Amino acid sequence: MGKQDGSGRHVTVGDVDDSGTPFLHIDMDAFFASVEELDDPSLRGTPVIVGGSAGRGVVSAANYAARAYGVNSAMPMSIALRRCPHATVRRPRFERYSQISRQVFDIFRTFTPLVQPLSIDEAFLDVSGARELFGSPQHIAQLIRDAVREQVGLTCSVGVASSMFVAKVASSRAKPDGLLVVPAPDTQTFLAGLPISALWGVGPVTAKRLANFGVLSISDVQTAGVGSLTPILGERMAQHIHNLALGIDPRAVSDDRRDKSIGHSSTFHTDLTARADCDRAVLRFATDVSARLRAHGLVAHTVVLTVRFGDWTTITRSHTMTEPTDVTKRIADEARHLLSAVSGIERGVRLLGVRVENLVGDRASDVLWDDPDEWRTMDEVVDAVAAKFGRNTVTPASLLRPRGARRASGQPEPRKPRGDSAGSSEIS
Amino acid sequence: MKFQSNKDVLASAIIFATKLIVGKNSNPLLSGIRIEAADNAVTLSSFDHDVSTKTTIPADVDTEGVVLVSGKMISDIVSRLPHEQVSFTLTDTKLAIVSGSAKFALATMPVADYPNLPEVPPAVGTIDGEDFAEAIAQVGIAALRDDGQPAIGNISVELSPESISFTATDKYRIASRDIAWKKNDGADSVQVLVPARVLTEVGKMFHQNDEVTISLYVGGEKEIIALSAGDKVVTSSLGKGMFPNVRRLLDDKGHGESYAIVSASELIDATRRVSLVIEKDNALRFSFDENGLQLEAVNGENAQGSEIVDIHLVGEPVVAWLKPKLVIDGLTGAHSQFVRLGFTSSSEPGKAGPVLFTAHTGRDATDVQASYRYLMQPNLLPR
Repeated sequence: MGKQDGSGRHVTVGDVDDSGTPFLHIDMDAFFASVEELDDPSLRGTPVIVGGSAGRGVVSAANYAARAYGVNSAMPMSIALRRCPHATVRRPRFERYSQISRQVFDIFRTFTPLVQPLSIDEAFLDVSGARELFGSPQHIAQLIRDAVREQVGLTCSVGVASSMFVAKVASSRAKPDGLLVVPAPDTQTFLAGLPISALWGVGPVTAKRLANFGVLSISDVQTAGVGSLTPILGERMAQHIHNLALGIDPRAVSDDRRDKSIGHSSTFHTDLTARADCDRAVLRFATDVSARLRAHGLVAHTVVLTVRFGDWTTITRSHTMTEPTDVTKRIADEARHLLSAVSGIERGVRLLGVRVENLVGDRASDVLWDDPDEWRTMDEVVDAVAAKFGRNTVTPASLLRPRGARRASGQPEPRKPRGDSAGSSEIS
Repeated sequence: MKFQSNKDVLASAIIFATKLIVGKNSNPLLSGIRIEAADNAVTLSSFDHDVSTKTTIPADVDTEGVVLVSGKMISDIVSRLPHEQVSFTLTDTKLAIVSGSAKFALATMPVADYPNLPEVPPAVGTIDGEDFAEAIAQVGIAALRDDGQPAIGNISVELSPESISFTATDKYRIASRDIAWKKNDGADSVQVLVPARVLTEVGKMFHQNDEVTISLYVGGEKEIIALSAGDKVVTSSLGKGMFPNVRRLLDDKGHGESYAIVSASELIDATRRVSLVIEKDNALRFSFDENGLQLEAVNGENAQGSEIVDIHLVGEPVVAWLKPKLVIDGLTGAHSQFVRLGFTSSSEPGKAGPVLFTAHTGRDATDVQASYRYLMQPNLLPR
């Protein structure tokens, strides 16, 4: 494994055999600290620590200049500053990091739709389908590194290998600002030299148990065989460890977005009894949900309406559309249609929620034509205004309050005394 | 009220009255059927605020009168009666139905509360019942079966001086059929949307009628279409929303440079066979080349299948991944022994162009009956 300070770095020089290595693991170098350097070039070359304020805080990230002094992420800030007293400390600016992260991931997605984010600064890519368009995996890795440097101004390290596990190990060896290709036939040799803790699932306890039996390195695991590991680790773990040691990792890159949902619900200050008020609330939530759906580049198959009455009885109604959508108008129509079939609103509605499920990564591309352009165009305009001036700058006209009628009966207000349950948005 | 009628005549009239409305309404009155006996005829009507039906049949009327009963129940009873003749008698609030030795008594509903049926608007023209039924059957399959998208749950009906065009789409395919009609003087050219569910049923109901009259009221609050033939009338509220301008996709000049002529029945059979091994909604690989059309199904390691059918190919070899159901619908809809599949090239890499299905009159002939057109989108080419 690469050290946090970049010593022991191992990179590929010149073209190597990348015919059986469609998996890329890309890791931004000292991401938070690099963004700080990007935004304040005077910091370049000097130690930078991003983290909570001095004293009780923890290091979120440190650049390589700081790491040279022994500063590592997750280290208490007090220790970090003892090791590197002249470092510049910056508080994390997560919004800015997300913004840069989006730019970087957008670059990844120009090469392949199969991008599996691991965190804000790390992703797996499967580029096997991109060969004709962009070239071999090694070439694509270099194109991505160039694009990230030129378009964003940051460096990243890329591991290219025959499985996701080996690609991740390779990128950590290549850090910082490096590219390491592990040709498929060399996989076992490459892994053989690594400590056993490089295997996923091998923590200190497992490592110690294996050490007691003389299994110290990955090459020991390779020669040991599953049979002799089973008494130590149990059958499943033995099989898992042995497979990884041979570079066998059956996982596939998935964009990991299926079976998630986006929802918005709100508990009202006073129970709603008028259908028109409920209808407006549902429209408002649907508008919010579809905007977030678009922000994530997703489309939804299913719209779910939740209604909780004053007596806490709760019903959910859902409709699955033949065609997934991210169009506000369609999601709102579905949600309102579901509401129209709910009876007993006059009993009082305590909570309403709209959520979309069955999310898929993209609009189906095997259709002849798509949703009416005018709705899509309107959504794009609304999204652009929201990006510039904030949410709810533009809303459906029926959500506007009548002039001089603030707090009029029609407008549902969050039920404040009920604390945390008032107004919640979630992505799960 | 008291009358006798032939059981089969009455049963078919009741089915006509209930088919389009039953089971849809929470208001029990609207799931009812109104039966009125007068002048040696019985008139049955139904109405659910969107769709209304009215039909008149001959009957021996002893006492005139009117009654409102549950449509579902009377439909079930009359279609199973044992005897040729059936008599209906209203006593107080019960309707007695007698046929041979079978006797039923049904509760009635207050007929005074039943809403008036919409008036039939002025006729705009007439169309042959069989042509109409065929066109609706060809086009209706492509309409979206999803009540969430109002506009494309409809069939678009375009009335022009020369012809009527029916068009439906569910985004994956577009089906369109033009037929001749007799337009009344003064009727405007207009496009209206009619719920596919309604039009599909009406097409079946009227297929034996020589002449179906089309009446329209557009431009006001309650836009409706009425279709009538013989003693039967159906009205329907017009569908709402913007129907996408899909005719321009059909009219694309890019179709037909290269094409294959196939035997519809052979290809339908082969498609059904080969698709046995794949999951529903997955696509088959169709490779058209000089050796024929090869169909291939791959279901991972579990199962594979393939078959080759004879084709006449003009132009370059083509490979497309097509969903079996969509292919079969297009071939079936062509109502022709031979079907021509026109290919379009696509500018997007990895994406085959749409395939246009049209009827073809002979294997080596070049004339195309373009009154029926069915355009479907292939799936993305799998890696």
